[in-house]
Amino acid sequence: MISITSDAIDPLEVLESVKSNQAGASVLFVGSTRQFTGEKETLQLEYECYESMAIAKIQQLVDAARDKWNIEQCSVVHRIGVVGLGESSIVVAVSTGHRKESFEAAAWLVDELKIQVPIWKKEFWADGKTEWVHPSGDQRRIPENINASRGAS
Amino acid sequence: MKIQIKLFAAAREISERGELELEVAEGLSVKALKLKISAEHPKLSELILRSAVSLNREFATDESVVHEKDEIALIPPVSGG
Repeated sequence: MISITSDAIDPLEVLESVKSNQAGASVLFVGSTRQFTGEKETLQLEYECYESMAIAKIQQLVDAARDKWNIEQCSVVHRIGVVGLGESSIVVAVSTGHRKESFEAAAWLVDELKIQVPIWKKEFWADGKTEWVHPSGDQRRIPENINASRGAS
Repeated sequence: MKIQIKLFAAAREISERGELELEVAEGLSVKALKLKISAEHPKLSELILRSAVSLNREFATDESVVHEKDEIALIPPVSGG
């Protein structure tokens, strides 16, 4: 299941979607709105996406993950619009034969999604300021087309 | 040729619109496109330096050539998750 939704995400529903009798392990990752980043207090986040490209990019990441690991089932759901404190913005579930692969694949999918997929978050700080999050500097890698790099690795 | 460029997040807010329309020469590279947007919309220039461009929902390189029917978007550094 790959989906972008403005509705609240039920993580257990996403976990259910990767159920397989061939799987000995399932990993569920839930990303949610954090109240404090250091001293700064967040009231809520708001997400925006370029939906057609975001869906295509998530599909490419899932395909690439299937090349790297022996995945039974894999689901990625991202919420857009306002996401309140403690609510889920992203849920990734992966099932595999053995646990190591599902831990690795889920972590890789979340890391790559944060680099490759055109989705943006806006911070609503408690002091009344708002700010689009556009990371710069060393933590950022220029996106590359994953399809182009798949054959090479 | 006339092209439209989709804008998102801070780029959309800074320019107060979801799409830019530009008249450009055939054979324009993505690098030249970014320079042209910066020249015509100086408020976007700082963000454009850090942004990618997508053509038909794939990330383009500086050397990629823009065609009239392409779906073009300015992709500021992403922050999903």
